Amino acid sequence: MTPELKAKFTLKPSKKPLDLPQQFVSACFSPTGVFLLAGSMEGTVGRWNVLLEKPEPELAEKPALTGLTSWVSTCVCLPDGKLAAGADSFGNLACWSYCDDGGEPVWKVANAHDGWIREVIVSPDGQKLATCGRDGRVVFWSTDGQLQAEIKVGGDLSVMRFAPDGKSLFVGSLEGKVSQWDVASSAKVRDFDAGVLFKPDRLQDVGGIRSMAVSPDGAMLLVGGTQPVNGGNVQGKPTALAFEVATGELKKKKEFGETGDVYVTDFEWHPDGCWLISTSGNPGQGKFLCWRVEDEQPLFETKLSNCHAVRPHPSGKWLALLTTNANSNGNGKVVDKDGQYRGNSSPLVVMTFPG
Amino acid sequence: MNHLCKPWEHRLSRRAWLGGMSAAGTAVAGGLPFEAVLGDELAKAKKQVLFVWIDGGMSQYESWDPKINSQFGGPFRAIQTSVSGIEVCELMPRTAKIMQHLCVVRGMCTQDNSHSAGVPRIQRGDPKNRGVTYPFFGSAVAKLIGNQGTGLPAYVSVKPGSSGFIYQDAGFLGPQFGAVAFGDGKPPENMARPESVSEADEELRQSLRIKADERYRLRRRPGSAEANGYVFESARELMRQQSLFDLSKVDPRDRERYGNHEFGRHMLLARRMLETGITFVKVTNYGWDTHGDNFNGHASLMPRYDQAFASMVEDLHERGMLDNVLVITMSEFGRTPRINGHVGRDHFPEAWSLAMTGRGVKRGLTVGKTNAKGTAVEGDAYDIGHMFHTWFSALGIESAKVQYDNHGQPLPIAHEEMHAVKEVLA
Repeated sequence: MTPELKAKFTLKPSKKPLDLPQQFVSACFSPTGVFLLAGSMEGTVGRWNVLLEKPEPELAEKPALTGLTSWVSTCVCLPDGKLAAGADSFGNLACWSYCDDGGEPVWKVANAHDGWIREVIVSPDGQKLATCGRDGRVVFWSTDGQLQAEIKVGGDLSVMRFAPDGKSLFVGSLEGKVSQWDVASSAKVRDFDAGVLFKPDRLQDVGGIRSMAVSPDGAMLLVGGTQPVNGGNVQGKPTALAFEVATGELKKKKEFGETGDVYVTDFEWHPDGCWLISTSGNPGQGKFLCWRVEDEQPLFETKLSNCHAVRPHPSGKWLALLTTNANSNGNGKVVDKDGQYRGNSSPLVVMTFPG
Repeated sequence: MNHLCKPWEHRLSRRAWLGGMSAAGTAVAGGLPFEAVLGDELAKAKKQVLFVWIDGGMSQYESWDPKINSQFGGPFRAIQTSVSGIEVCELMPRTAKIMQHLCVVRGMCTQDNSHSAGVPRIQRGDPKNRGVTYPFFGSAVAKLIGNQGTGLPAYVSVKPGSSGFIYQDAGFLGPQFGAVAFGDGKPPENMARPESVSEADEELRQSLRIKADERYRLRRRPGSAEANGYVFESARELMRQQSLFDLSKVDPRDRERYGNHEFGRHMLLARRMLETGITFVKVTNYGWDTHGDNFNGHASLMPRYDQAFASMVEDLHERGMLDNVLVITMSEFGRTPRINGHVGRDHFPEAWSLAMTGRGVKRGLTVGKTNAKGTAVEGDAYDIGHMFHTWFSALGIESAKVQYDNHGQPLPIAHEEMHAVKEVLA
């Protein structure tokens, strides 16, 4: 870790977070960075123009993308710069032409899964989508919504990533299982032992794989979650495991906080050789970190309220963190100044890279 | 201020357990024998209660009162039940199939949003403050109905963790009406007669114990002596019923149906206890205080609950026992509509649900309702006092007339400004 590198990852927060009016559970930028999409808890995908000419990034709201119901836990922009896919917790998958003003999907597959679709991702060549969910299935789709293939992995599949060459797929489950699959043959390549991120408690199962990333050279697999202490109000140290893909060997286990900090929620790769990491724990507790696997200490670390996702802007100049507002918890009826029951929101915190 | 619960708030301390055991053996019940004014009807038929306590707070959204496609509805679907027009969360598919047996109260609105105060407040029926500690519902039923000639304890508790005699439940009624707790569903230690003690020797010991009891009785208030004798007699009857706890003798298909998990085993044991004739069986399930990761937590907890609860209701129905057994399943409160940053729900007593079936209860309906977002009760709201009146009525006890006699102080058995919910009663 050189001082130059440390300086390069000393990010500055913007003066004010971008205010997203409701609670969102997923987000993505378009490849050019002109659009921001965010999946809500109410069945819509919020859509904004990112005003890049401003001194600090600002958002201009556009009509939301519709056609889904319930939680849109996952959304992704395809590399063609035209289409975006999203999926909801009722099992529906939809695709939109997000540059068009209308919000209706160009295609939709109702009941693509039986229940909650946890993740939709796009293959590196942009030619197919993959979905996974609570029904234990991974399903491959063409970009026009045709079912192509299916792998019955089993378990509650929470997260997955393609290898950079697109030939294999890494899948993680809430039962703490991680496996690699050959996309062409649908055969399992190997398992990775991430059992430390799961606790089959006598009362309930706790933890599981919450985040995943593959290094750009395909050599390393990173999975994140927590080392669960208890269920109910889940507690545990946010933890990342780094595996060597070729052998399945665990190369590093790294904790990013104390038991109240709980989950590593997201990883993104920065081309200067650093992982961008978000964590979320007890209400108000969360972090954004920049960390290299070879280092013990992060290059950069800052506290933020419940970071659920980190999204680098395609310009490379800044990134956005999907958070939850402070004071988001409390027992009993919490009302606003008008006496209305108060919900929470998802401030989008912008962090700018130096220079 | 940290609103999160501490683990120890859900635990019975060793000291409390030892205190309970000590009280069971030696404590004085405190005065005159308790006289409840019960109707003749009460004596005629066997009346039992199964009280399924979901400790920590089950989310009404992820169970009995789903609000799909709403701001606070959460990620899960609603599914149709066996009763047209009634939907429940998709996490309870088996319970959905037995809705024709159930009465779901969706209009609960209670007063306390903390565990430490809320749990006893709810289970004691939250009566007006009379300067006494009211009994838990189990102790109240033990007092008002008794063990109905079984010789077994009238009030037993199957729970995770430690065993013991939970005298605190009885409040002013005195230790005799506390709960005999079977920690982890196991029988009390040293229950079996040691092989070195012959049956004849055991009888001799008992006759000596009875004589000692008689001497004890002469120098004590009658309630105290009764409590002492009751504990010994219950223990002896339990010694004769040890096979109750041996689930290996249960049909493996039943074990499969209830589930190979703690709650399933405890519910199966509870069914056997009801079959044996125990008046009040409480089953406690922990782990529901989902301030963090509420949805994945319920996705893991609910299927176990659903499996065991639905199996129990099916079995009680098939055995014709729903005519005798009042079944209640509830928590100390529900969970908040708003979803916090830890993707959890906090405590919410303002609008939540419970369910019941069995003796004296109409079946296949919902009573009360919440608004579209689930943030408030619409129409009549029911406090726990209403439920105590309702449950007593379902058991044939006239809750507006019957009173406890606490050393000469008459005390209502349920909040005197509340009433039974007629829509619930058959």
